[in-house]
Formats: sequence, C-alpha cells, structure tokens
Amino acid sequence: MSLFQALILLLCVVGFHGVFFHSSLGRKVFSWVLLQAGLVTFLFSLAPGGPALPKVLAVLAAAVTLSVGLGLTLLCRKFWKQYKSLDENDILKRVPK
Amino acid sequence: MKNVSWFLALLLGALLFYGLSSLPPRNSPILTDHVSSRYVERGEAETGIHSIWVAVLGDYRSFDLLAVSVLFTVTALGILAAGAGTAKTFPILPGLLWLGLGTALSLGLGLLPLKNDGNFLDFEILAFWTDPHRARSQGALLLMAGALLCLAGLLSLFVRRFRSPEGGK
Repeated sequence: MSLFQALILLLCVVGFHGVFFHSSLGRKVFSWVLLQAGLVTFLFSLAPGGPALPKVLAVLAAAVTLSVGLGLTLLCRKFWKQYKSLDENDILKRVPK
Repeated sequence: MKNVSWFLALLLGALLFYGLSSLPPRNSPILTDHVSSRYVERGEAETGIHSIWVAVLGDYRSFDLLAVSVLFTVTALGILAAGAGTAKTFPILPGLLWLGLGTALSLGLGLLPLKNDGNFLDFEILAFWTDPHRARSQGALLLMAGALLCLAGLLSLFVRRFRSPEGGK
C-alpha cells in the first residue's frame, strides 16, 4: 500500500467514524466532507493521465460534496441561530413534541 | 452509537485496506480503459442513443441511476419521518406525487421485463410499445425521467419542509 492509498484510507475511515461519533452537527458535516474527500481522492488516483471516466466521476462527486456540504452548512447555521447550539442532544431536548 | 461507530470504522478500514491493496499499480490501464473506451467507441451502436452521456447514464449505468432514484426516495422518506413529530402542516402532496411517479416509473421499468421472462432493467421489452430499434434509447430516457421526478419530489419536500412555519422547530 502506497502513501497515497494510506491517505485515502485515513480520510475515509476518519470521516466515516466522525459521522457516527460526533454529536455536533457541524462536526458531522465536516466528517462527511472528509469521507467524500477520500472518495474524490480515490477516483482521481485511478486515472492520473488516462481515461476520463474516473475524472468525470471525481468532479461529479466533488460538485455534489460542495453543494450538499453548503446546504448542510446553511442548515447548521439555521439551527445555530435558533438554538445557539449544534449539539444534537441539546437540539432534541428543545424541539417541541 | 459511539461504540458502534468504532466497530463500523474498523470494519470499513479493513475492507478499504483489502480493496486498496488488491488494486493494480497507478497508471495501469487495465482499471478503466476497457470500460470507458467501449462506452466511447461502441456506445451509439450498442444503445442506439446519439448522445454519449445519455447512453452511459441511462443505459450502461442504468443500475447506478436506479440506485440514485432509490436514494432520492429514501432521503425524501427520511425528511417526512423527521418532520412527522414537529411539522404536520407543510404540504407534502405535490412532493409525494412527483416522488411516487418517479419511483413507479423507475421500478416499473426494472420490473416490467421480469414479467415477460426478461432481465431486470432490460429495455428491449419496450419494443411492444415503440419502434424496436429505439426501445433501448426510449427506456434510457424514461429511466432518466424517473430519476429526475424522484429528485423533483425530494427537492419539493425538502423546500416545503424547511419553509413551513414549523420547519425549523
């Protein structure tokens, strides 16, 4: 396993773990972006100078990550304005049943 | 959930390690060359679709597109479930309509050939409805339309959920 592949593995595992581990919505979003960054890096690593398909997929994944990440960040901002916290347990307690 | 996250992360790490270690070296042409060159060189002849990206998305990668439609539907159902306890007033009918139409179209295209002893998502079965030479291209376009309808349903539910007076609560 090369150093580059180790970086991909690290990004994916740390991101995947963070999505479930953190209770802060902001950290969850950041972890998900890390996971996606691992995927994009992996796709780019498949075809550094050859076939276009993995590059297209990588650009697609990067674009989706950016747009969904932006949407999730806006949602976090909305939650922060309303609850002054991004902790899922805090927010859950304050949501009217 | 935190304990489970360690287990899942370790499992993913082991799987990725196994997968990445088994890959051919970088710059090796065997990874994707045969697929992408086949798409480019024989796409139009095999699928009957002039546009290469429609041929790839709707025909060669039709299972991926169907998976994306299912993903949109599951996400939309998640939004509905998340709003079930807090926002009962946001109008969901238009979104559900788009979503239902898209899901029915996508899954219908997949399941219809099975009824006639064909394979799942085999667009040739549409020959009873359209010109046999254009059956694959029509099927690919219908599948793309199904995915777009699912996306429209998802976006409609998402926007209505978070623009409703109770949406942010």
